[in-house]
Amino acid sequence: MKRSVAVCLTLALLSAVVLPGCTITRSKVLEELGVVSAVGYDLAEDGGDLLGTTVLPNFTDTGQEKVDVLSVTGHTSKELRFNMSRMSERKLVSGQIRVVLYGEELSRTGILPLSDTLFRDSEIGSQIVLAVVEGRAINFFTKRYPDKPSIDIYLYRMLRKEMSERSMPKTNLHTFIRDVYDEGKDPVLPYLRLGKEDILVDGLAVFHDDKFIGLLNAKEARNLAYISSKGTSTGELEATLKETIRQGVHAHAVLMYIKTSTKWDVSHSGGRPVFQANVLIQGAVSEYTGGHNLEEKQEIQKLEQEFAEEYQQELSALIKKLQKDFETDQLGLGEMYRAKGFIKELEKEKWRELYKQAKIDVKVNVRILQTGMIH
Amino acid sequence: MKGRDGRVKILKELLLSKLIEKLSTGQGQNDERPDHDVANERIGTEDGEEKVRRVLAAVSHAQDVETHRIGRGRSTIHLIFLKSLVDLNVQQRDVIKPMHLVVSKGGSTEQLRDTISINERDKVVRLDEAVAYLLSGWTLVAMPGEEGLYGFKTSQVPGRGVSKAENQSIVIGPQDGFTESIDTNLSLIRKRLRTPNLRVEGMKVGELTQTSVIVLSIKGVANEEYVEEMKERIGKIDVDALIDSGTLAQWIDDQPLSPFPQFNLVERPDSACSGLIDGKVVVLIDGTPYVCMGPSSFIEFFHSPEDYFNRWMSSSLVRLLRLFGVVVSITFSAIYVAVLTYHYEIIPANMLKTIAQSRARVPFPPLYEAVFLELTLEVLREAGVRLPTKVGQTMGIVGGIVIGQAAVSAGLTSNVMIIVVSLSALASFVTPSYVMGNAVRVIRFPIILIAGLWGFIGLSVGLVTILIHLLNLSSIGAPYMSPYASLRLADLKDTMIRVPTQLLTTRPAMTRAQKNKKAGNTSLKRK
Amino acid sequence: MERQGPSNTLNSIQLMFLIHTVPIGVGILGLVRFVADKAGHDAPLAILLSGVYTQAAVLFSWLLLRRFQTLGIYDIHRRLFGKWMGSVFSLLFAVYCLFAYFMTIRTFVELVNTWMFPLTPVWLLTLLFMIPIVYSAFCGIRLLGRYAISAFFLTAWIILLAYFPLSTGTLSHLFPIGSVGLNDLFQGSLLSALSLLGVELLLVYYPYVAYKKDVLPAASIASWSTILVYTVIAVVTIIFFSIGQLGKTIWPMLTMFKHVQVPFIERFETIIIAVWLVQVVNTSGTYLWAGIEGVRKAIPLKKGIVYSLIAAATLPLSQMINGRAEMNLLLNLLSKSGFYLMIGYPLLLWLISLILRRKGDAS
Repeated sequence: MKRSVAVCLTLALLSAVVLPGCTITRSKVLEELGVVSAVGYDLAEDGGDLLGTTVLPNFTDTGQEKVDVLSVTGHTSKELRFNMSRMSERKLVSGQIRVVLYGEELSRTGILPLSDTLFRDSEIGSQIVLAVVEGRAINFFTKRYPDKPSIDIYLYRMLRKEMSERSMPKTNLHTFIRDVYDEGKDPVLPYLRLGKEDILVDGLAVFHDDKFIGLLNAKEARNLAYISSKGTSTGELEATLKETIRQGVHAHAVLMYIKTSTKWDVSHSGGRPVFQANVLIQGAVSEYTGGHNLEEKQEIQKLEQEFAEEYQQELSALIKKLQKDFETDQLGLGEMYRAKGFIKELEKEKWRELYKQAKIDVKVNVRILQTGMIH
Repeated sequence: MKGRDGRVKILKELLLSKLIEKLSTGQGQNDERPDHDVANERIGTEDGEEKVRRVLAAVSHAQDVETHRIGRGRSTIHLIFLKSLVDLNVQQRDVIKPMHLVVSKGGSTEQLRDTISINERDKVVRLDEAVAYLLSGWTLVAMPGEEGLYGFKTSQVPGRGVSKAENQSIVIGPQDGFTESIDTNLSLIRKRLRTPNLRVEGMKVGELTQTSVIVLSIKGVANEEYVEEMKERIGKIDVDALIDSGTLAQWIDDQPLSPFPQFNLVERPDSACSGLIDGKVVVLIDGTPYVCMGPSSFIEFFHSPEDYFNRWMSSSLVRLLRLFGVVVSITFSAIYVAVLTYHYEIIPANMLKTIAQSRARVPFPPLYEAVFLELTLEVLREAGVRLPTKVGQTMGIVGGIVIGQAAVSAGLTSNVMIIVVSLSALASFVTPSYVMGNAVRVIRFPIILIAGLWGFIGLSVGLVTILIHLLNLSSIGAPYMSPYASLRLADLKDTMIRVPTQLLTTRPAMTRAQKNKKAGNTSLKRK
Repeated sequence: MERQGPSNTLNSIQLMFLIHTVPIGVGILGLVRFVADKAGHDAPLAILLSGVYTQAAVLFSWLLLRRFQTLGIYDIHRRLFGKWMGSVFSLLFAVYCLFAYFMTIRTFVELVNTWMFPLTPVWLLTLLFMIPIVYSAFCGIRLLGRYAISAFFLTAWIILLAYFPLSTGTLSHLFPIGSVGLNDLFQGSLLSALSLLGVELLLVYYPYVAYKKDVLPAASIASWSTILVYTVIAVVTIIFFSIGQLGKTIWPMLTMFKHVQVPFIERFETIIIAVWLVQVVNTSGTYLWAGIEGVRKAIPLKKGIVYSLIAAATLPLSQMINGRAEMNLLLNLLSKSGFYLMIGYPLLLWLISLILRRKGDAS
């Protein structure tokens, strides 16, 4: 008897939950949604307003893929969204955004407010890729790319591939926000350029806090990736050797299957921070145009030495560029300095002053693990 | 043979006492009163004709009662029996023919009795006893000048021989299954368990059916509490008819409202035996090839006897596969519905296109689509069970291929949904226990519903509620979710996985067996 | 149907899991942010330090309970303060438990509102979550003990997902270890109080524990392993976020698991929230049971009636709280009161019992 009362109560409770559930919980049935997959932000031409562009894949035509591109202007990103939703018959949702592009001009004014909104939105993933584009982001979305997947997928896959191959440091929404808020580090983002029928990843956009201030080219981008994290890469390192083949023509060698690791020694001397990076590069020789026998240990060592010298110069130049030209700390040296306990509380302005005076040295060690099938 | 005799005696006594009790007390409450009260009436030394008349009057509704006379005049011998229950050949050979011989030679009553070669016999003086024997297929003989009647067992119950277990079939291992005869079933168990400690306790359930029920347990192994509890619960069943062990299991359930079976029903003597050895109580019911076994744990319903015959790794894999199947079958459609309705953001980029395109032309929300397809599938399945095999195949083609294809190309459902629903249906077939498979079938629907209304969080509420229910369940008082409920590590050896046979040395704690060890200390190393 | 007698007991493993899992409710999702407010990058250390509080709570409770043999807190009240005053104290304790039950469910509703269903009314979500919570509490302590074990194993795998945030994290965030100073560390550890609550329920479980000898070791192991879980989460969180970013994140644990990507599931936090319900039911259900136990000890009412009343009261109350500010106020109140109740109260009762020379009798 008692039990049946309990059951009735439970059933009543269940139906109370179930029935209004249908109407009150705003469902997001897939086909009623405008699933935004890529967003671009620019400064509007007429002044301070924002120009937002979104890409919506349209799945209604079976088989053939179509992409809708909407663009509107507004003051804030939320206003953009409001204005945009008036242009679509579907409900716009941002849970599938994978790529966000910022126009160059806008990036120079600072993009934290825009990316912070993305980060705050619980629907948006933290692994989406951000990039700065040459010119205006809208042009990237309105252009047609024959023989390429739809623009959102194209960009997403390309940038993820570049990062996983360590052609550039790994960046996404989370790392960008993290580095902006980190007192001892400045963020970078990939920099894109429009090609004839495609898009080119053309180095890195360097940020001072959240403001875009300068560019690193592709080679520098790769070097930054090598020095700032540990890992393997399928990329190649090339060096021109002192050895000559003919008159005036130097031999060159290429390293492949590269493994890098960096060890930082942080110290403090004479009121300024001192950083010493010990970079170890291991790899296999995949190309060598010189005439020496690489089976001999001495020759290998000589080759290693030459690689190290060349690469050391490149890295020093990169660090100098960051430290002196841009005055930004993409390597996170401030964080290292703090972690060693030299300053208790890291303040951004104070650190920028210290960073300018810091002494940063790089020492590169190259180790050749194999020389390929021929010598 | 001794055991068999003993059992028959017990049965006989029980049968009589029960029947007499029913006849003397129970009938009074019935609407249909018997023609006259047969209790406590004695059959004296009256005339044979008169005895026959009185017995016939007591069973006046049974028109299959036959009588037979041997001899003539004052020394006529009267036989009364139920034609439908008696083996006429045996009766002819062992009763009638020898009697004719003796009568024709003019032998005495003593000789008459001795000439009958049937061992099971009794002298009956009470009318109600006589009726009980008659209804069990005995032949009653009225001897001239003797007090009462003589009963001889000539019964023959129609039934089939021992054959392969149909619904719980396995590839390797014993193939025989129980039959509808309780005697055969008992002998199938005795054949495997030749221990004097096998305790056989008979009971009768069902006022009209008088179904024999035997409670089996191993003395010194099974926990007495469980045996007593089981007997008490069966004894309390007050019902007119008991046909099957499934009904019995529901009568003695701990929680009758639960969708989950609390007693395992097995068709295989070897399963029943291993249950007994683990300290369980097994209940045989006359007239059904399924026996009821308890206490049972949830995980047990996903075990098959074959798991012990195969190598341990393959058994473990198969067991994990079954559990995976159950999880898939309960949640897969629900997850798909939830994702499509609320959580589009978790779909990976390359899958989004496939799913969105297949959904594009479907006019219903995912929830309706899923429920509609699930129902169609259940209808197909039910139809397949009822139909003869040959028609069933045709129906499979019509239902599965024609309807499925047509529905997709007409744009009524998406092909991804068909894949999801069929996968979850397929996964539900791996449950070895039919009753548990049905339970899984049932709870799938509320889960899909709540997932369609509340997304993942609803799914979670549903599953957690089921989990709480399962943890709260018991089987004759033993925790249903044992050994997970109290995390007995020793018992985990034989649950989701099965460790090598040498390590299975103890009985599960769930049965609270009197003897914990079931194998000596063994080592995995061969010395 | 309430089961009586020896079957209604907890074994030592169940007790251990109960004490381990009940504190792990919704508090852990935001824990590290609170602690890092004061303790900065040394949040893991501060959390490790807060293990001392739970250990003290366990120790004091054990001292008190041991003195009264088989009695639980509600009977101890009666023994110490007499029938009427004892009932009043029991009611107060019960009100605290019900408050904790209520806040757990309400915080989770808030979370679901933020992450999944922003438009769904609070009372409806509360009703939905109350189905398993009230059911589990209604089934009693034996079920709660069993459920705690399941809850542990159903959620333990989440810790493995820490691989993803760790792989993109910056290890140096953790260093230099212990540099924030003892004062900040101590203050940070106090901020973790909300996530420590649950240990005090030992006072209520005690009469049901089968092997009373095991209580002290079991409870100590359980509470320290809770602290260990928190510390691991804190380490991962600090490595993953920069301090500035952490300060802006309300539920760092969820944001962190947002970073998890596997081939067939793009976003993991939705699943984590759904799975987290398992823990919420555990925490909330146990508090509800403990509260109602107290109410029924003080006022002899039928079980069904008490449950219906409290369930009915939950809905309007949960609808009444609006916004994060009010929530934070109440959570603050809960953590403060709970903290004193956890450590100070058993000690106080123990001292009173020493002074009054009251003891439990052998029966």
